Amino acid sequence: MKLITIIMTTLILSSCGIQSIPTQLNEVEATWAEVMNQYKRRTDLIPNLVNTVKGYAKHEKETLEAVISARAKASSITIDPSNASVEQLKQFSSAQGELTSALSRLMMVSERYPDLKANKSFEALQAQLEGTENRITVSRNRYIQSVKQFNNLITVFPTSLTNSFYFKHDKKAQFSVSEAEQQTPNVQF
Amino acid sequence: MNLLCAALLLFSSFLFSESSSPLTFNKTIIDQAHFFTQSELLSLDTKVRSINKNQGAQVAVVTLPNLEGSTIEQKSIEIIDEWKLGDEEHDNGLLILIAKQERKMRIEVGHGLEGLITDYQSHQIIEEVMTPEFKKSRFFHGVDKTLTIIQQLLEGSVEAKEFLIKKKDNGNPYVAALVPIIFLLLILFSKLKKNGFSIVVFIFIFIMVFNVTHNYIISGVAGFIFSVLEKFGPKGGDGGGTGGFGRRGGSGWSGRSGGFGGSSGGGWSGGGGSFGGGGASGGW
Repeated sequence: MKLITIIMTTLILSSCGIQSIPTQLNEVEATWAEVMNQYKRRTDLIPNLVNTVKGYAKHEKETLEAVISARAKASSITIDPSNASVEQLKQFSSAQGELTSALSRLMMVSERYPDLKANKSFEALQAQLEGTENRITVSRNRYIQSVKQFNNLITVFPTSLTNSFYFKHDKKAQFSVSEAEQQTPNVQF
Repeated sequence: MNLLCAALLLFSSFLFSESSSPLTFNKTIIDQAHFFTQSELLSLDTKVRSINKNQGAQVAVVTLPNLEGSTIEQKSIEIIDEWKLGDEEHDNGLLILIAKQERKMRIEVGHGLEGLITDYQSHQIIEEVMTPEFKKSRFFHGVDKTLTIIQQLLEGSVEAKEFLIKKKDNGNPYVAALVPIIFLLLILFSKLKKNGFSIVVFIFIFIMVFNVTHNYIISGVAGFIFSVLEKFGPKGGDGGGTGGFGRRGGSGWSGRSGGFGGSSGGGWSGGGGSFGGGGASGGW
């Protein structure tokens, strides 16, 4: 009899969100860390890339400067996802989006320089950059998924009850596709 | 009637979810684009299994007739998210994906292998090995050479190799920690049976809540409340406990160490390895 009560309390406790809400919160934090990690990785790649391109494409000062300033702007915005507002996240996202389009413009421009394209270290940097952009996409998607799950947990019955009485978490801000990312960069030849 | 409808609905949704993934991972080489002959398939399979045996990594080769509108990166991560190649501990999975109609290929590298096979190396494999062979429609040769290079790359770091193989034998540390706890609980259970159940309930709840909150006070209070409730509460414990554990479903224990299900030649399933989008793509 008492054993049944124990088992029942266990079941009730574990299905009410006492366990799943903190677990999902950790998941959100971990996926966010991965997003930051990948953006950081991209930021770290840029100085090398810019220097390599500079050696071959002296006439592309404007494009190079656009990348440098977009990098500076993007890395100046750091946000803490645990209390980031939708606005802050949007700001962060659009700054990174501008960097994305500045970079893809640079990569397109570099197509015009056969010597640059033949350079091994440029090829390596290009491959790394492509890999990083893909990782950013993947990590952002994972973050979006985990935030969605977390927000479901704290707003949908019955786990929402546990949240309103005990944890009192707020909904997490979600990524949306920023304007800078929606625009495809156009290059005139 | 309502119940019947609900049951039917449930059943049909089950059917749909089953049919939505036509790509099942049961072989090392899944050749939907029909690039390889029977003997070529066998030869590639042997190679993939040898990588799994000697280097510990779980490799899969997938060829598709087309990408159905998605990019090769999307398709690749979609497949990988479902199959979870490689084992959970080392994330040592690797996928070679080839799309016939779009003439695109991708090497998707698991988290654990990113140090051994960098994005640039994947890019080089695609540019210098796959592309020239694929241009001549020599798909088998392209993939075969790719597998050889991947095996060499994985071999390259002796330390990493030893680390992977050695670590494979270690059991799950959590399970190991759980055993003495259960043992202790059993002893307490039998000793305190006469003195009253509430202490057992207290300890039980305390441990459970502490696991979640990591807070002694909250756990203590919760344990106290439940032990009191247990003593004075109604004795007729009925009422269906709807529950199921609050963990995210799915992952399961089906195959912690990705690889062969048995020596009977058949089962080949992913083991929970994670991918972060590493690797490279290309076209021919």
